[in-house]
Amino acid sequence: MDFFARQDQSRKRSFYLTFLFVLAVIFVAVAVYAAVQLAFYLSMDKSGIYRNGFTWFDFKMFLLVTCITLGIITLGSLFKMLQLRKGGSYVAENLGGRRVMRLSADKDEKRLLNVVEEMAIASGVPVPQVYIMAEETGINAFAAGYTPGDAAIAVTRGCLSSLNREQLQGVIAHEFSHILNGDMRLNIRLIGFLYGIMVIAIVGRGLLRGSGRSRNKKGGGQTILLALALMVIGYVGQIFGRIIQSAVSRQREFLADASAVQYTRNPGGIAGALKIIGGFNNGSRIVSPNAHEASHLFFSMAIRSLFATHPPLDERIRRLDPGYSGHISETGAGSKTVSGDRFDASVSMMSADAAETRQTIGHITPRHVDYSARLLATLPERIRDELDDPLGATAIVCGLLLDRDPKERERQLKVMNKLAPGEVVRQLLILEKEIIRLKPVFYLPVLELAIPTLRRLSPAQIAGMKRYIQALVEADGKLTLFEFVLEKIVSHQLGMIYNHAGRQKMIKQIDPLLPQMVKLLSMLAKSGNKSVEEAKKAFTAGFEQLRAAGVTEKESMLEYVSFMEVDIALDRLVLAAPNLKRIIFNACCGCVLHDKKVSIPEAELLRATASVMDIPVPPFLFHPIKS
Amino acid sequence: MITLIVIGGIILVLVVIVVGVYNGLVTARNRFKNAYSQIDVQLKRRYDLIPNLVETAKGYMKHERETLEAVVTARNSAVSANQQASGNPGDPAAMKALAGAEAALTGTLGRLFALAESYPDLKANENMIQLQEELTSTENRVAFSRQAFNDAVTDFNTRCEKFPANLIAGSFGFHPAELLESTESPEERKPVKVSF
Repeated sequence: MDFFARQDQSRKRSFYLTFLFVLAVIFVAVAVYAAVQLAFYLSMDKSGIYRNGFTWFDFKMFLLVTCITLGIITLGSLFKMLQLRKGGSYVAENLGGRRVMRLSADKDEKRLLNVVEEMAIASGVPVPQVYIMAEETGINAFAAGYTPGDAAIAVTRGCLSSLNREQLQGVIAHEFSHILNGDMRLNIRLIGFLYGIMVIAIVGRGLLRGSGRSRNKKGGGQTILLALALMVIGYVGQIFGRIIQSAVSRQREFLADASAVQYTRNPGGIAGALKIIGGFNNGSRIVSPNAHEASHLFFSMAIRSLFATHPPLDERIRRLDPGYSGHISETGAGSKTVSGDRFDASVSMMSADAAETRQTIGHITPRHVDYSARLLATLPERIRDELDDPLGATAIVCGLLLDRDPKERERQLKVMNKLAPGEVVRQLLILEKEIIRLKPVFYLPVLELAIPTLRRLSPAQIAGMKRYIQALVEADGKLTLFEFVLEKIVSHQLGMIYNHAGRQKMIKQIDPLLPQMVKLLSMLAKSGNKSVEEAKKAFTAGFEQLRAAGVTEKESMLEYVSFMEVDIALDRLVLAAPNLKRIIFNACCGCVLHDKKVSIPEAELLRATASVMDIPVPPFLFHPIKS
Repeated sequence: MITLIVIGGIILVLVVIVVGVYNGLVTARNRFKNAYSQIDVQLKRRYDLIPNLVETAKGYMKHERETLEAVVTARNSAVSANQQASGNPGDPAAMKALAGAEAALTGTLGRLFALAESYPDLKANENMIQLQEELTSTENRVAFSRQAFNDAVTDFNTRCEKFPANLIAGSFGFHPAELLESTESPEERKPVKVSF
């Protein structure tokens, strides 16, 4: 099953979940109705409302109560979901997480950052924000977020201190599986629903407090009764919620375990982590009071509950263990074996196969993890540290745009001096030499590592940065493909958080997107092929993919397109439905890989396209890895 | 009956609004508290560098004991001011105290560097050069993070003042937070001179 199919399936599962939830809500509504009727029944003699007779089943009354109950639950759920859409960092902070920063990180925290970054670069998802729950001594971790772009991964202190690198890698791979399999959105729904049901109990508690204050008034008795009933119903509703939660969650955990093994080719890592949890005093307990509603997010059972959110440890280990013995020797813990390898800029082409590339979308392969680990380990230490500092990251992103020609660079720096804050210019001057020396293979990974740090800037600083980045790009009067790609990725990845308003309708037909596709394919074809003949061939190869997918247009021609046009085209293509994204991306792959070769510019444009459309594409392995 | 439902509905809507506003304020407050932790990291780095600096300078500047001691004192009071501030970022008294302590520290450091100019051996000392460079870049980072912090504080304060948050902010314990004022002199804030 490929990435797009899994996304589709995740949507279907969400639908199933909603169905279960509706059932629970109906049940709760009936219970609330019974409570209300009981309250009225008991107060009947005094108030005399029901002089015309009291019936246990009053349809109008039932409808009314149900509507109100539904309203309360729906409002509560929507409310919570809207909150959670603020991204993974919101959840992480809510559960007592503290952001890990490289500059202040200790040895364990640095290892964690390295493992997460390697995995992110290897899978092609944006690097998640990393949190540590310093107060928690149990071994646990979770991933949260609304889209991969705003995901956060959090681990407990116990997780860092008790697990070795391979086990930690297993745990992180498990969390990445949740990100890649579309579980995060499902999780947000679950938390939202649980909260919605809990609101009933909260309303009950509020009523109880309110009626406590006005005790001397008439009719206090049945209000208290109603309040108590609502509380009980709320808590009973919670039980239903938990049943749903555990039903949905447990299967996802098995899948995530299996994926973790697939990603790291090392069942020992994750099985080892599970075994340590089993033998550990604190196990995987989470003490934070907010852990209840988020318990299904965690790597392992976070709270004791009648309804398990996770399968039993024994069973999880047993499913992983059979593959254990044979594969240990193959484990690639990555970064140990690095320093000798150089990423050679002269090897700017590598061979790749379109089918293979498509298969790796949304997957992490051990080869890619290995590649990323080596790549990151060869990145100069200074740059890597600076990338985790807001000022350093800002300066580096600007630095990537600096021209190799000193004269041009001078002009660019003058522009920077006018537009950027003094700190940024000073930092840029400090780092200038190091950045200029970076090989082109590093450009995209460096940019990807900078993005999560840049999210720490204030909205005003981000807006300012976009301004001087644009000025830098325009300073030399010509636009290169990389400049275009950088601007596009920065504005897409950093625009998302502060710009929720721009939600547009999904496009479900491929035909209306054809003009945009022609533009994108033309740009791709020309970026990878010097001669017009070759470009035409590449374009046709891409277009064939579109036709195979049912585009009615018979033929189309390679166009001369500007970056501006491609920019607009991409903004439109973003709106495509998931199954269309597959077609679009297939066509792009077909075009790039028609000659079975990938050049760096092609790879950059392809990854920018993927980044904008939120498709996790692993990096092309530009240098064959020697084992 | 109908009136009861209408009243109930209105109360419900009010509750939802209040909860929404409250949560919005909490989020904004968390945002500036997090932004403070970024400053905190850099300030601590700066405080860690200063003892090394004094230690290096001591060997050369035998006659400037007073200045060196002033630096150490200023550093120590800045450390405690930062402890206060990081415990409660945005608290007016703590932020003012921190800004004051930082200004004093920057002042004494400036004096130290000015005096160091007349000690060629010290100026040529590898260690000194590196420390001076690190201190400058740390100050740069503080300035940049301070901007982010002040932006977040301003956002929080604006939210507190806006309707309907202004009606409930006070009673839920949300008070306007204080900006962290710049400790740089006006000359320092001028754009950098780029020379080639």
